[in-house]
Amino acid sequence: MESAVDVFLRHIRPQWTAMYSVARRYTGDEDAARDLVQETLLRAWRGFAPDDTRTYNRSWVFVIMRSAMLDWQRKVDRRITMVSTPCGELTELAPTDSTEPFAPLPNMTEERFREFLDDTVVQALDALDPSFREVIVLSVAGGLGYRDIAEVMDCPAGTVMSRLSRARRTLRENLASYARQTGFLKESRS
Amino acid sequence: MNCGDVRSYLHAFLDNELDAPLSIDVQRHLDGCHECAREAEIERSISKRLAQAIRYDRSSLPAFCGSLDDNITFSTDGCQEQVSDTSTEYTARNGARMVAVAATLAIVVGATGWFMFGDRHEDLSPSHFSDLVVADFQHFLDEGSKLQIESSDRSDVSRWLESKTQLAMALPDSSDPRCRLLGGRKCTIAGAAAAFAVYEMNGVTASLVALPSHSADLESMTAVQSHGSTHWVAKRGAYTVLAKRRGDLIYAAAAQLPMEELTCLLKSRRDEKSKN
Repeated sequence: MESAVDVFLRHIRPQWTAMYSVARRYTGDEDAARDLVQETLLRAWRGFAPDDTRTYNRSWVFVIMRSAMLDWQRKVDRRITMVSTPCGELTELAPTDSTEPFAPLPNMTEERFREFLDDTVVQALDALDPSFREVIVLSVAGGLGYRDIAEVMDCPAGTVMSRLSRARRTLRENLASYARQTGFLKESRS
Repeated sequence: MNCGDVRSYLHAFLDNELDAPLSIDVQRHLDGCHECAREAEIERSISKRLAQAIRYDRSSLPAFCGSLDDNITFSTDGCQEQVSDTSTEYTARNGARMVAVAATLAIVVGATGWFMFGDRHEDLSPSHFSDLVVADFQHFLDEGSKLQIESSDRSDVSRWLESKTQLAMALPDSSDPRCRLLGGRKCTIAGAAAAFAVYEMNGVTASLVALPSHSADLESMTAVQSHGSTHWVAKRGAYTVLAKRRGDLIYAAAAQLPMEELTCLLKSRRDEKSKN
C-alpha cells in the first residue's frame, strides 16, 4: 500500500518544473524562488491528508504558493515583484477583442518573434500590469488551464479569459515596440 | 463564423479551452482564411517563445526534489516505526504530525543539499514517466470528464488530435467490444504536447496518450514481451501504466486494470492483421 509520502510526492512530482518556474516569476529572484517553493511544499505537506476526500488537482499547490507569496509580501515586502490585483477590478472592462477585433497589431512575422532573446521577452512580460503578468505566468509557466487559474486567483474563469487575451495582446505590442526602438522591426516590413 | 469571431476566440482556441464544436468551427475558418491562420501562427510562436523564456527545463533544475524524496522517505520510515511501536495506525493524527516534523527537517536537509550541491543535476524525469501519465489521467478524472472532442469515431478523434498536437496518433480498432473510444483532448506530459484519448473498458475508464519518443525515457519501467514486441510496464498505486514505442511516438495506456487488459489499447493495425 502506498504511504502518505508516496502519495504526496506523486502529486508534487509532475508539478515540480511548473512550481519552480512560477515561483521564479512570482519572486523575480532565484534564491527567493527556492524559498517560496520550499515554503509551498511545507504548507502543502502540513495540509495534506491522503485519505481526505478532497481533490488534489493541478491548481492545489499554486493556490498554496500564491497564499505564501502574499503572506511574504505583507510581512516582508522584499524581493516579491508580483503584486496581485484584486479580482473584479478589470472584469467590467469590455474585452478589447470583441470591440476591436481588427485593432492593428504589430506587423511581424512569426520568424521575427522567434529571434527575440530571452531577456527581451522577459522584459516585455515584466512591463505588463501585474494582474496580466500573473495570469500569463500561471498559464505559460504553470501550464494551468483557465479553470485552474481562476481557482488560484480566486476569480471567475471569464475574467481569466479576458485578462489572458488582453495580456497577450499587450505583450505582443510591447515586443513590437521594442523591435521598433531597436530597428529590429524595420527589416521585416516590406 | 467570420474573422471577427475567430479573432475573439483565438487565444482560447490556442489554449484548447473551447468546447469541441466551437473549436472545430474555428479550425475550419483557419483552414480557409490565410489572414486568420497567419494571426494564429504568430500568436502560437509568441506563446512558444514566451514558454521557452520563462519555463524551466526539467533537466536544468537542481536536485531539490530528489533530495526531498530521499529524505522524506527516510524520515517517515523512522516515524512509521515509532508509530507502529506504539501499535498505532499510521492514519492517526499524531503520526501525521510526526511525519510533518520529519518532513520539515527533510526539506531543510534537502534544500541544504541543493544549495551545497546545486550542480548535481539529478534528472527526475526518467523514473517518473509513469507518474506523469497517471497524474495527467487523474487530473482528467478529477476535472469531471472534460473531453475536447467527444466521439467514438477513431478517425475523427485522430484527426482532431493531430490538428492540435501535430502527432499522428494511431488509435486502436474501436470495433473491439472491450475498448470503447469516448473522445480525446490535448495535454502536456514532460513538457511536450501529447495526444490523449479516453476509452471505457468494461466499465473502467482508461487513457491512451501518445507523445514524441524523445520526451520520455521508458528504461526505468519494466520491459516485458507481449504479442511479439517489447512493452514497458509500471505499477503506480492502483494504476497500471503500459507503454510501447511505435515509430516516433511513445504510446502509454493507464487504468486501474491489469496489464493484460491494457494491451488491446496498444495494438497496432498490423498486430490486428497478423492476428487475423
